[in-house]
Amino acid sequence: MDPFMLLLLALLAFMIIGSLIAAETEDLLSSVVCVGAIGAGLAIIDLFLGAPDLAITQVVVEILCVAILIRVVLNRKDETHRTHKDTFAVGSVLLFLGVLLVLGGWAMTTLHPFGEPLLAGDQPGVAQQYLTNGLQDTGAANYVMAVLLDYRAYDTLGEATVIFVSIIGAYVILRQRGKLRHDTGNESDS
Amino acid sequence: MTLGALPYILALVLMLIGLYVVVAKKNIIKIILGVCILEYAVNLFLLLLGYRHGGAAPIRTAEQADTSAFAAGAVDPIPQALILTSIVIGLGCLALMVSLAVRLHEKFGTFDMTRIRELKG
Amino acid sequence: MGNMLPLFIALPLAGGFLAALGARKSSLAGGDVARVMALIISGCLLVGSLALLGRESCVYWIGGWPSPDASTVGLSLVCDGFTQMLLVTVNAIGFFALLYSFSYIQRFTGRALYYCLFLILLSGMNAVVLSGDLFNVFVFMEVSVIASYALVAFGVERQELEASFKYVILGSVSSLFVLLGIGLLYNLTGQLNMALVADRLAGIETGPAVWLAAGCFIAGFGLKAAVVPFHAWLPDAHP
Repeated sequence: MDPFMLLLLALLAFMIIGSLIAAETEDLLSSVVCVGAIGAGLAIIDLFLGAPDLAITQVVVEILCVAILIRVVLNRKDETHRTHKDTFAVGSVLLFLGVLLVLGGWAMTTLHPFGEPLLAGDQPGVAQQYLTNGLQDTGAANYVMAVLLDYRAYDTLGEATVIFVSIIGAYVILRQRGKLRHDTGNESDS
Repeated sequence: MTLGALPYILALVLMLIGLYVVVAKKNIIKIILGVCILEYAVNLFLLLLGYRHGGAAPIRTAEQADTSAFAAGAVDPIPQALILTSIVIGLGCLALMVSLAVRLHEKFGTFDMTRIRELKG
Repeated sequence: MGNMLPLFIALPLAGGFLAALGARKSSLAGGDVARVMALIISGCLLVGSLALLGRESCVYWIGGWPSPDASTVGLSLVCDGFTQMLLVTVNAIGFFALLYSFSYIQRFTGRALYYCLFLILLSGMNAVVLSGDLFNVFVFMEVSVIASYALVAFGVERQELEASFKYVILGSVSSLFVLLGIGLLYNLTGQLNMALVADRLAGIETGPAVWLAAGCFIAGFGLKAAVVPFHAWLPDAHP
């Protein structure tokens, strides 16, 4: 096994261990920090798998997520620690997830294996066309950006709309008062 | 290589841990973290799908004049574009979930889902 | 004919962006302007979708990318018979729900934001119905679904917040299932365009990975649509 694969597997194991700690620790703050560590691990994997743009975005979004979540967790009392031990429910969930793992793992062995995607061959995927024609078509040296902002720019419009909607949604949800005091009373936006 | 599917399966394990947190935990923040883990795992899976052995980042430099040689050696740019979109969508969802959690804590004084139970569903 | 298709998405999207401008004004004026605009746009969409009924299928290539020898690099909007039926359904329900909500929404604050969210929800659903690309379906499904999370919680009372939280969690998980299914299909076929995916899938044997992708889609879209085994969130969110 080559060192690259070993490193990748080690990072994946790190992410799994981090997520297990995040799942089982009692303290919410450490849980949030563990999820931050998982995101950092993902950013490193991004770098190793040839996706530098992704690593940058991942780190920025990660910092934002962790900052927001820490802000929420701090100074809010929470007394869920006496977890409601419902062994039967947890057992049935674990059983269900185990079945999913076996079936899903079996299905994934029949995919095109890791490192050999369907790029070339007798029926090349659309990615090969992007890689071959991207520079002539779009003039972008970064092919990810060529796909994101030129070939599939309509998706990016949807992405921008998602951001817009979630800001409007958060604004709606964080309004102090949703209903007017009287149906015909004087009106004011909060 | 015989372990062609091993990274996929590890990503699947990560997904299932996220799903477990969402389903089995009773704390709102934990549930949100579970969704985050699930999202990371799906993004990771998409990224793994796009890699090819020895592949370079899909960014042309001035030295790489030969298009066909470049196209034969670069990793797949499509999953990366998809992940960039899905990361941002995940951030939007997270903002919404967190604002809901803040309001729920304001109204109920707790993050415990078993005590936020006015509805029957 | 096909040149009309983007309007089903662009018109309500533009309306939604404009309606948000009314949010900071005094709620009366902003809300009323947004209401009239929403009514006009929704009515236009209903008339447009009725006018499309019975036409032959057409495809609109977004950005004008040509499609030589059936290899497609761009995104497409597709309008066939089933799409026409769904477009009429979506826009008719949207129009009449809007008419009904005029009096209902009077008791809430921030009405301009309601119309903004409503129009973007309509735009997202039209885009999902028209889209010819798997990932594009996912993106615009998220647009419409995030708008509907906010609409469920619009009154910000205890029960509405609780219902919305359950809906957000189930909705996010189901979206990620859909994304997983898209990834599996992309690995198997190397395409994202629906017609090409169907074409390539016919050429490979139906192995367990295809079944896993199908299961992901059924679970994901089933959770979103509240099909029977996944229906628990629905009565709370739409009382």
